Amino acid sequence: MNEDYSKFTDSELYKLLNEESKLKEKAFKEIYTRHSGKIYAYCRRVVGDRNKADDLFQETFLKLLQSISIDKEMSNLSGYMIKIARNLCLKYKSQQNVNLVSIEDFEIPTNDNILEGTELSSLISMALDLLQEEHREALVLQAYDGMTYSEIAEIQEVPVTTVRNWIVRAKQRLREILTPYLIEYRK
Amino acid sequence: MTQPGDNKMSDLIYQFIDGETDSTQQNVLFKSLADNPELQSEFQEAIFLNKALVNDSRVLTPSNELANSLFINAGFPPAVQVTQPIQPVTGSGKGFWSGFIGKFKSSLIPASVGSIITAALMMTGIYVLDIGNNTANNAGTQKNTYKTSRENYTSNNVPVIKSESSDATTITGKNNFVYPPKINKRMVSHSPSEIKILTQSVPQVNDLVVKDNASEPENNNSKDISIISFSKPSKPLDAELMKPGSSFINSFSLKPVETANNITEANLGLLLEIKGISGLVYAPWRSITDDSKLFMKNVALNLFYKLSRNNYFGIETGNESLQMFRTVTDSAGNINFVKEPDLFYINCAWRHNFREWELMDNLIPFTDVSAGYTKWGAVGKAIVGLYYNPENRLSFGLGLEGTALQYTFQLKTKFTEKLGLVYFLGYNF
Repeated sequence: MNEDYSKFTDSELYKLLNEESKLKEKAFKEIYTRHSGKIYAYCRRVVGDRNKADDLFQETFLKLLQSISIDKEMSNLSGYMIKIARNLCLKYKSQQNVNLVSIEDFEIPTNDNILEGTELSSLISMALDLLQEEHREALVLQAYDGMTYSEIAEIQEVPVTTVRNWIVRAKQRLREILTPYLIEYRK
Repeated sequence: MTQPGDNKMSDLIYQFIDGETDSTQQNVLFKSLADNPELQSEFQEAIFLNKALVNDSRVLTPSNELANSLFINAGFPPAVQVTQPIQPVTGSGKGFWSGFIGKFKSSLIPASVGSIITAALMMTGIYVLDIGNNTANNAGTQKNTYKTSRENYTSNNVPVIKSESSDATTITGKNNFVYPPKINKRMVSHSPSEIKILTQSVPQVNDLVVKDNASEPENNNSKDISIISFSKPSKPLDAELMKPGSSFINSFSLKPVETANNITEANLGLLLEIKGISGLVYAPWRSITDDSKLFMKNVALNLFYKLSRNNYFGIETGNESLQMFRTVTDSAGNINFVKEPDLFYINCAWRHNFREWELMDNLIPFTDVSAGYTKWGAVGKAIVGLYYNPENRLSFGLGLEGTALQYTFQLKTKFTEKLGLVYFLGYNF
């Protein structure tokens, strides 16, 4: 029988991960379809390095599979997966020697097409790298994963007011960095 | 100069865009915006920044390759169809055959290189040996029907040797040749260039000259001799028995003599081979990664002991990459997901040559079967191919190899299979 897995809730899908392989596979596909975009965007924009982000993205889903427990009730799968991705990203970043780039050094070569399509994406990526870790993460969770301030506060384990400040500061900084380029892009 | 109130208003702009302001804050913000051009400008830029971030989030989607890799690592079939098609999906909708060919395509280069080299060696070998035969025929005074320098005699391929002597006798009638009762070994010269008359009195049997050891002293000066042994017939032989393919002729078997100039493949007891393995396709239809590493990565060394002319037994050891799901924890405690871990294996191997199906005089079909163990699990291999032995020491082979590995992942037994082209160079000693 072909069931429409898109009608299942995240909680139901999570439970199906305990089932035999065929059901498990279909449930996993549906979870992937629903959440892969958010997880991937989070990994890409928080980690920066594409290859590493790809690895962490995969690892997030594999950790999810490893975490399956019959007894576990999954009320917020999206948040749970973000937390897995976050832990992996934090672990990765703690192992890295972070080289900070000053705003003065931030210069992007321009050409006629630089502000089109993926070039804008590259600009944003580079600008995000200049933000403080917490600010960047809060911004990514809000702008890329569509989370509310309170949801982000729960994940980052800080007060909502702190999250609000981080996001506002992050956006103000981004605007400051990107305004010259965004003006070109708007034309 | 920025006023403190402006900062608060600036914050409200972003909170408003994020949907995090209440009605009171919105009213305050709108009033400020109405009479503050700078704030209006910032508001516009903030909106545009927000749009840019939303667009960026749409661009950021996992690739099909990444999705497939994840599903494979998770123990599921590749699932290109579930990736979110924000970006154009290249290669989708190509149909079964194009997809099928695509599976092979990435491995065709290393496979082709290996097979072309092997085929070239085989063809070159045949060509060179043909020249050699022609030279021998032109220069020699004897009729030489040898096709190559390799001297493998099957029951249907008894060497044809002409006697130098005009006295050589041809059996023409019944009871003309009576097998001496005490003799169970006879000598035959089978070197094309040094065919010797070993005896004048021994009858010529369908161009085969045999020597009676008992009645004639052994010609120690004769080089390149081998011993033909056969069982003693229970009754006198007649001419019919001496025809090729008869039971008598079939009773001949070659026992090579170890002489420097008479090294035959059959008297070399060991075969050492180096084998290259190119991945053609993996089952169940997994994507093949980085084919460039496959050419040098997949090699094996075989050491065979010859049980008989057609049967070999030995060991095969090598390194190969198979597509499988593994998680490996490195020294730093990081978990790495390995798609194609190195597979160092040691197998017991058995080979059988189908000499009765020999093609083009010197291409011999063969099959290899081997089984063994690796650090990941049990592995089995089977090959069908062609074996070429241009001269007695060297041999070349080309074949199709199937490999299956059983391993455990997440407490479940899994299999990975691979079909590859193998090509090898052997040395007999």
